[in-house]
Amino acid sequence: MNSKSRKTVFRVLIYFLALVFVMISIFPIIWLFFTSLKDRVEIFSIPPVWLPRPKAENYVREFSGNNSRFPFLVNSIQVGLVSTLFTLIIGTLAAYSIARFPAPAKKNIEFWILSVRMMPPVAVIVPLYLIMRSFRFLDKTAGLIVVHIAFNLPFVIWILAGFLRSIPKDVEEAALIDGCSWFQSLWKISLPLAAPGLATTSIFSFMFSWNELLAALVLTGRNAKTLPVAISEYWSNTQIRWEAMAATSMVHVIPIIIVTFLIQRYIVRGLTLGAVKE
Amino acid sequence: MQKSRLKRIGLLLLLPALVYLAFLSVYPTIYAVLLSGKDVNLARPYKALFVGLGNFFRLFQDDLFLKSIYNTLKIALVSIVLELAVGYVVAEIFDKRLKGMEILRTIYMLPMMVTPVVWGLVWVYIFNPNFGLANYLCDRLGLGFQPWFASADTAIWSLILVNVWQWAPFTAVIFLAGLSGIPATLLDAAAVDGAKWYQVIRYVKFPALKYVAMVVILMRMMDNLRLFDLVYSTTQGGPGSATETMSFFIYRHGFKFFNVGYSSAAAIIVLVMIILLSQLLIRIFYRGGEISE
Repeated sequence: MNSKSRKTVFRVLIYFLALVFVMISIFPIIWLFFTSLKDRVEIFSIPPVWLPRPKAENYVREFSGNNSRFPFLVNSIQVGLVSTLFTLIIGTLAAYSIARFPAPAKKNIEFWILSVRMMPPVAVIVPLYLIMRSFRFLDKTAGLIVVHIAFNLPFVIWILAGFLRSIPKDVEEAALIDGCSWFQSLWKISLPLAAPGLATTSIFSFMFSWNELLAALVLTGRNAKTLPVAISEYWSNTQIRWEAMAATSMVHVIPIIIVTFLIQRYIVRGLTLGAVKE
Repeated sequence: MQKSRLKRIGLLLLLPALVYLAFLSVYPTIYAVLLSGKDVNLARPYKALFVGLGNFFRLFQDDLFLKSIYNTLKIALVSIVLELAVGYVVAEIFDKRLKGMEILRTIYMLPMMVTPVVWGLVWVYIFNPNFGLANYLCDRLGLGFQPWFASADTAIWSLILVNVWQWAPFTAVIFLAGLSGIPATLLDAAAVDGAKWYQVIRYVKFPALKYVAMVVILMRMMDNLRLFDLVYSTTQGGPGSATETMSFFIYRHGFKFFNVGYSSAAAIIVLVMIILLSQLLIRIFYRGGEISE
């Protein structure tokens, strides 16, 4: 074989292997989608039905009428948006301070914030439940929002500080010399320059909230539950309504698929807290 | 501006975040430590009894808790080894910069972006012993009937399989970032010296991947120590206690039996394990030099 055809064979092989791994990865998503289109008969048929006749029945049934999951979708969006907004406001100030200002014991504070990020929610979930109960915040979206802000704040501070540090200091210093206050320099210069970082961070924060199960499960009930809790409720030891579970899950998954493509460049950085960059 | 004024502004900007975290992170942690020393049950009206380390002594005699530690460690170690292996192979494939690889890589990452709640249920459906796709394929391939999540012997392996399926992409993209950080000149030099491909892997790539591998191992270790969502949406600890994990044990005692003291004691044990790992990870973060001052 000459080197050119060898190269072609090598390429084809690499593509083939890449496709195999990609298929393994997304097959369950495809299967979930097909399941969401099936009816009861198709669910239990052997051999399995690969391509069901497309119908929206499951989606319509699960998201309308008396037993609609629609309110939980609204809860999820509400908790995600509001908690992200507040996390971003508090987080940007803190991140700006870490990136630009000298503060007493700054190194220790940074270290501590990173440690808090790594705390397992399961370790504090019982106290959080008791605290929320004493404030009569159980089964209220506000209660879950308060907790999600606490979960996401360290992440947002840490990642945003990284983005803000990467902006050259001179630009800001010039502004300060020209008589801007620190707030003007943050608002008019740093934040616009950090806009991509800000957008990515908000998307991550929203996504963490969107996916979060434990706190939502424990702190909410009939009124304030979010989509992951509603999905987990399809679980049963005996009889699961697969087609209904699949339809509700697809509604949860589709936004994430879209968002993943939007932030693809930053996923590694975000999920490793900036330790690994691409 | 004066340095002391700058310091004041710096602290002022940090304050809201610090106060918030103090109330919703530090305070609950202290609360959990206090609860762990008490015998409290929310379902019973009697007063909380101070038992000191009693809950911890009870925990270490509780077969279910010991089983949950064993299961958690087993899931964590086996999953991480498999994720490293699969992740490295996939990273090598995606590292060949061919057209369209970037989009394939992003699609490959999708499982880890979605909550394990969804995947757990999807895999329970695929692994259904009677009408699931997996057993249909096993049957066609002559592998016979597999009980998957339904049997105490295979449930934990099924759980590991789903865990690896979801998180191997994480390892892969991180290794990929590590591989692309290797200077081309280094690889060229190795080629000029006539290094075989396995020598390149052994002497050039592995040393270069050491830092990212440590990050992956520690992060995944911490994730697995608090593994909850996946267990909740697949086996709920069963059959029997076959897939009971530490997080699930804490959840069950706290919110099914309302034994909040006992549950908090178990939570403290998980917390201590994770804090130790996280301190190690943070050291590596700083030493890796990736975090700029």
